Amino acid sequence: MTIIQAINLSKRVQAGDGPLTILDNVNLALNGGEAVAVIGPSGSGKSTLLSLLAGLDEPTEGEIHLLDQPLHQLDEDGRAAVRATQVGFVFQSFQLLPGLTALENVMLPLELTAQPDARSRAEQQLQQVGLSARQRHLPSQLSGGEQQRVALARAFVTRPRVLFADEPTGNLDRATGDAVVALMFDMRAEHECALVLVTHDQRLADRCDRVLTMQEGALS
Amino acid sequence: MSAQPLAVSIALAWRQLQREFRLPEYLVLLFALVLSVAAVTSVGFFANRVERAMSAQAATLLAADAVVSSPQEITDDLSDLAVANSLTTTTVTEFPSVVLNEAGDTALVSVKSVGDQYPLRGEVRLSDVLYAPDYAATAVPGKGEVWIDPRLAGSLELSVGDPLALGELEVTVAAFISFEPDRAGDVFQMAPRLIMTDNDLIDSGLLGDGSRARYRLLVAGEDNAVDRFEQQVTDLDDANLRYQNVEQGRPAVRSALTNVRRFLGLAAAVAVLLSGAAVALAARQIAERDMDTSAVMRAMGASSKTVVRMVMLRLAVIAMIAAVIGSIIGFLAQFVLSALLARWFVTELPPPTFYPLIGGLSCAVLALAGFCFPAITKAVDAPVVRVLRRDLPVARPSVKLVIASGLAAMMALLWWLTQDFVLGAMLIAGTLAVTALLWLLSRGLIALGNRSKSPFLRRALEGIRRRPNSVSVQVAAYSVGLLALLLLAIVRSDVLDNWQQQIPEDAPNFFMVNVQPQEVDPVRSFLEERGVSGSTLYPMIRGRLQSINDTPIGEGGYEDEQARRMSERDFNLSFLATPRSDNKVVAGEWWPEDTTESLFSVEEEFAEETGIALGDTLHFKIADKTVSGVVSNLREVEWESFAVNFFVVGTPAALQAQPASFISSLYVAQDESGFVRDIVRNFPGVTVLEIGSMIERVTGILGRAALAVQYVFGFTLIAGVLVLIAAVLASRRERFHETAILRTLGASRKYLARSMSREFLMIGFLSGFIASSIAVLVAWGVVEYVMKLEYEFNLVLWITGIVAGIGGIWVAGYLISRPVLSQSPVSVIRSQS
Repeated sequence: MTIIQAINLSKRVQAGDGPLTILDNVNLALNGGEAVAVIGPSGSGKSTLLSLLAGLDEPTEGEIHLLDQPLHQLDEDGRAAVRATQVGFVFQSFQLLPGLTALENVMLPLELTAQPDARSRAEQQLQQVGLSARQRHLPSQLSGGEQQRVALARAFVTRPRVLFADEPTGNLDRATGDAVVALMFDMRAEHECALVLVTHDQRLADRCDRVLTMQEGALS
Repeated sequence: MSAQPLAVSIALAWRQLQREFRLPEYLVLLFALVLSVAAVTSVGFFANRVERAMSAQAATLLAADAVVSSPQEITDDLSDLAVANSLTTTTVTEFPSVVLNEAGDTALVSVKSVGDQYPLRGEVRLSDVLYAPDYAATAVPGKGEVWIDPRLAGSLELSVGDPLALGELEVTVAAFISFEPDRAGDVFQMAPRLIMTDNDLIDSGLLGDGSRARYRLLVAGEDNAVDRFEQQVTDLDDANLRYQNVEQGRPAVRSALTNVRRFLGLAAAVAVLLSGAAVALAARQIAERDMDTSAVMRAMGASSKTVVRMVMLRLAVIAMIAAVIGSIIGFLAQFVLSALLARWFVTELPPPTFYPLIGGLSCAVLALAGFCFPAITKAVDAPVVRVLRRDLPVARPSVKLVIASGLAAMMALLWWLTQDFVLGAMLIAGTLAVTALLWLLSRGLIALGNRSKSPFLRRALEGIRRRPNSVSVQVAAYSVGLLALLLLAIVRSDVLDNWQQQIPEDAPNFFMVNVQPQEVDPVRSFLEERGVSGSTLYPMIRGRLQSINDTPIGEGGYEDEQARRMSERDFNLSFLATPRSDNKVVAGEWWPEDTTESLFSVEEEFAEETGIALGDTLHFKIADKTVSGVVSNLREVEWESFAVNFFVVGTPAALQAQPASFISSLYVAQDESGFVRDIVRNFPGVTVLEIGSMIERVTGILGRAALAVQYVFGFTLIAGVLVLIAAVLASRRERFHETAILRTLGASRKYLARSMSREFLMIGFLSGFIASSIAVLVAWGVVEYVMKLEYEFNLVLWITGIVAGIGGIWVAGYLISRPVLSQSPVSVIRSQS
């Protein structure tokens, strides 16, 4: 079953010397539970594609359907509502809120959907990523690997249908990165969750079901 | 999905606030708001207490339903008119005099002679022992008895039953006055009160023709009757009569208090304005942080409404906390303000109500809305995609929007503080202009320093060169606070001291008034005997200017309020045949000594203010006659000499026939301590006023007023420090980065610490130098050109200003920036990547 479909997707921005095309007429479909890696050189449009597919940004042209929701027709709040329940994120720079503890960061998506058992589910999820002992720590008190594991716990705590990961190992050393990736794929499998992974790392891309290559704003 | 439930927003906002509240930018925001609220509420609580004191006394303010006052004795016709309207009446006569105790000590008193029915409304409260519980008086003082103000009891060591010499009478102190209904007006009380009965007035010999007294007819009765009486008094069209009912109250007092409140309000407003700058700077920091938080929250699925709610809730909590802390500080601070100005008030001020708290909360909310809201709301709109691309340009609110909303908030606050829109606008314009001037000056000095070849100066300016705008803002903000304080310190000490010091040693130190014509020769002889020479007794006639040429006073109006008051009130005229050596004729000619014409000589500034020109015909109402004459010359008068002077002097032909008393100013050596006692004993009707103690009292009041305003301006200096801290915080991220790179390149912590220290020393020196120098320049201008005195440069104050600048900025800046030195370069560079 197709859970993400992009049709003729384009993104242009206004640069100093005129309009700049970042994505050009991209078409893509992703089935439930499938893992897709998007690779390509810096500036090829990988992250922009991810942001559009996840509803973080709006396309200039084209359509995006995420879990039967036409994201291109929704406003920002509409897209946020889809993200709140169906989507998880892992970012290169972790994006944990610095003022919240590890536990509170994991609870955040559940609290936004007013889940009554947010704390126990978050504790359980932190236990799954091996950070029970660090749940009261602030992000600044955690190592890079630990921060990314908290981010993984946060991403999976809502049992999302799709996980979007942008260079999840980009800020980690190789050993830590490998451990985080292993954890991510295990959790994805457990949750039967689709994955869109943007990476430079061919080894990481090879763990996915499909690898797409971006070149100058287009899929090849 | 719509917005998340409110409870979710509250929980998340509260949690975020708990954690982030410890961040320096939140602390600056909170302190700046606390400071604004404290400044506003301290003035608010104080004004509230004064207003309550006045309101409490409003019902009995006049001791009657209405009062007709006159510089002339109230005629029987007028009393009969009141009685014909079924009104109850009584009379009150007020005048200054001097009393003696048994030991021969003297004191100036404000005598109030009252009729049997006094007071018609309210009650006089008395006590038999000083400060003992009081009771309501059931009658007026008996014959030969007086009631006195506790202050008089203190200065002359009097108890109930003690005798006092009052004019030609010996009276007994029968009680101490603890409350007098119609005294509320005398907020700026100069002399203590003494109440006597009308039955003793004639025997005391204190009043004669031309005596400086105020006569009042008090009336009370049915409203209709009072209104009818008012109409009849108005119909009399007597320029000497002034009708006043309770509603009209005491406009002069209200106006004086409004001015005090307005002045303190303005001082508080400058603190709020500077705090606003600190709020805006802190808000920018918070907004930048919020952009990331907001983007992450929205990526997690938070609706924009939820994010906005969280921001609003956070700001609301900050406003509440600031309002509570600021109000407590303001409440405590107003006690100091009341104590500083306590001597102005006759009665103890009542405790304040909670009304000023509304002002405090409004201040916090308005300051947040005006200075913080544009930046914070912009942060909410940060693109969600920022979670992926932090290099996206930061969306800052438009500078115009920030300035416009800040100014709108300030105007609202100022209107509330001063109830005067124009004054508020002028203050904002003035503060902005001064800040801009200080900013330009600091930029100029930095540029000048850059050209210097001195290695020390160049190294000290290294950091400043990198951030010239930020440094100039810091210098300007801190200088504004420092300048305000220094100016007031100069007014309080230098200007008043300069004035006092430059009064010549042999300048007159006594005024003698109420000398009756038959006493002139004996008084002269007495003065000669006592070796007091060179003093002239001038005739003094009370009159009211009715019209200039054919234009009645009041028609056409005066733009200048003071000119209107001066021309409408009774004032003192004199007559002279020959010109005085200390008055200079600046237009026209002095009249021949034996002239038979009716001519006037007018003081030039008074003439200018009231529109009197050479050749005009002036018509005065003196007693019940009209005296007219032509203005033949204008005079320049040296009021500072403390010699007796008059706005209008006439020829003997014009005024000699009018009822007059005589006045003189004289210098009596300090060792002549018995002078006043002997004058009062020999001439009981003569009143002697000691100028020295009056000057002391006036300078005391001015000094305390300046101290009170300076005290409120203390908030301004703290606000300046907050702006400095906020500006240093704003550059801290940049400093972290610079320091990390310099340390990576091998710079030692000691080198960096020294360099930072030098930078703040230089900023402090610039602020102190600019503020101190401008303050001294302004003081010089005021003393030399306004007061026309010789200014003595106060080196100590100038250096104090510079040291305060260096100390304040170095301590604040260095302490805030110190953590920059202790960060490891790796962690900084990593966090920046």
